Amino acid sequence: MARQKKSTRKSSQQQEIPVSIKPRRNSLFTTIAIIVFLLLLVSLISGCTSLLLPESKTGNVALIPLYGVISPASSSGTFEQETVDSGAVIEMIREADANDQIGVIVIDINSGGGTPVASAEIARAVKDAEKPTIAWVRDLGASGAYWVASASDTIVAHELSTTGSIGVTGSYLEFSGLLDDYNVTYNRQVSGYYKDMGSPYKDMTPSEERIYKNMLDKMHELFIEDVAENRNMSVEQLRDLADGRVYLGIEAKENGLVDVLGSQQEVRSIAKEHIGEDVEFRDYKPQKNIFSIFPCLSKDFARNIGEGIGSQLGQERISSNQPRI
Amino acid sequence: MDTFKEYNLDLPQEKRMIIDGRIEKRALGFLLDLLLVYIVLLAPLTELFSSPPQGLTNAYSYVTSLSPGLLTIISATTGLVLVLYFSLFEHYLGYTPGMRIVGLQTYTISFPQAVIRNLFLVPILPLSLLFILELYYLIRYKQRFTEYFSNTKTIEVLTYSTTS
Repeated sequence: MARQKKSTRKSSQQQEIPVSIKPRRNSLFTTIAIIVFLLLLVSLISGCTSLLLPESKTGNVALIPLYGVISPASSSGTFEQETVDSGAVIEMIREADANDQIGVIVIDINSGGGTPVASAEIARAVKDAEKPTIAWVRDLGASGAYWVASASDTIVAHELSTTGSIGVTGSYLEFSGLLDDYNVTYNRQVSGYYKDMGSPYKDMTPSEERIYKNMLDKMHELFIEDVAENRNMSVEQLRDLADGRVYLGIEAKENGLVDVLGSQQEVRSIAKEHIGEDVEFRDYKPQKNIFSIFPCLSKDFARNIGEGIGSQLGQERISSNQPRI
Repeated sequence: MDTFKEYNLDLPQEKRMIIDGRIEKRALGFLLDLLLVYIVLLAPLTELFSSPPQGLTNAYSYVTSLSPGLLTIISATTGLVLVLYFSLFEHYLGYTPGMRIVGLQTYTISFPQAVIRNLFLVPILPLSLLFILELYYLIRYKQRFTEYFSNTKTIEVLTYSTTS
């Protein structure tokens, strides 16, 4: 019986298979459609998986990311600049500080700053941490991000990192000339003379400019005082450096704005000195909810395809819009 | 048109012969498909790996260090993409790009049939165990186990000319 069955399976003509063959045709459109459909599917899954996965619960050194514009609220919409929520960062710092398994807190910085209050809040949280803190500056750690870095016990930056930029800007576009060209009038209705100070639809008066400049100067002064205290420098000494310019890591080291030149290797050695054992990073990331998924669907789609295919073809990973060499 | 009617052309007739897909062709077509899927379709999954291992020696320890949740998602996504890739192409066109290159195709099959015949590609137990049965059936009967189960076949259509 078995032999009979075997013999019946040998010839395809004897099998009861519906013998209907699709005619060969120009299948380019179908091929592209199927590939695009699958690309979409994979990108959506991979783009959102990282949000939904639980954090790793092992590691003795907390690695807390500070990527993007520092602000009091996060946003990751398709057309918005990536921002980092100061509240979420502070929460992660406090959690790491309270965690017995964590020996050192590393702030992983790639940011050009943000709002003064949000930056100062994070800097305060770093300063208040009881455990040793290390600021690890990647490509960029300037302005508000440098304020945060200065609050840590040690600042590690690469020779080519961009840092410094100790200053405050309140620049904005003013459209009053444009409105005049189109015969549009700004109908000023205020109760309180300076209520619409900084409105882009009118010229600033000299008194408004004085107030505005005074406000920026005070912020700058507080910024300088806090950084000087954090870095154990005199205010006068720091003021010379705090004209808003950026410094390369190597220049920052010469001027005392950075402690160690290096990257992950150096961060690991410093952390190891503190905890006395091999370093295992524990990645922290802001808590996401289900609503965080939807913006990422569109945002990560194209990037994932480009980055993924690029990395497979041996190209450099695209991770930043900073100048690259 | 009328000009051609004046001639009684004795043109050779094209005939077709259907044979089972040869194993070496099937293997080559399958590898080509896997290459395409890996480079184009699964590339975005690399986003999930924070620091991929350098070299095969570190691969095992790296994979085992990944969280079970991440591993499950990667396995399920890989399986889903592989099954959909083969099933959609075989259902809509009768061949995958790899099969087309080596000159193979399937009979007209429904989408459920196409899915069943490709279930062995899902890298999750117990479906991945089907791979052993697939090889055994392919070598012995020139038809994979899931092909037999789904009542489908991979074939070669040979064309030749003869005078009538």
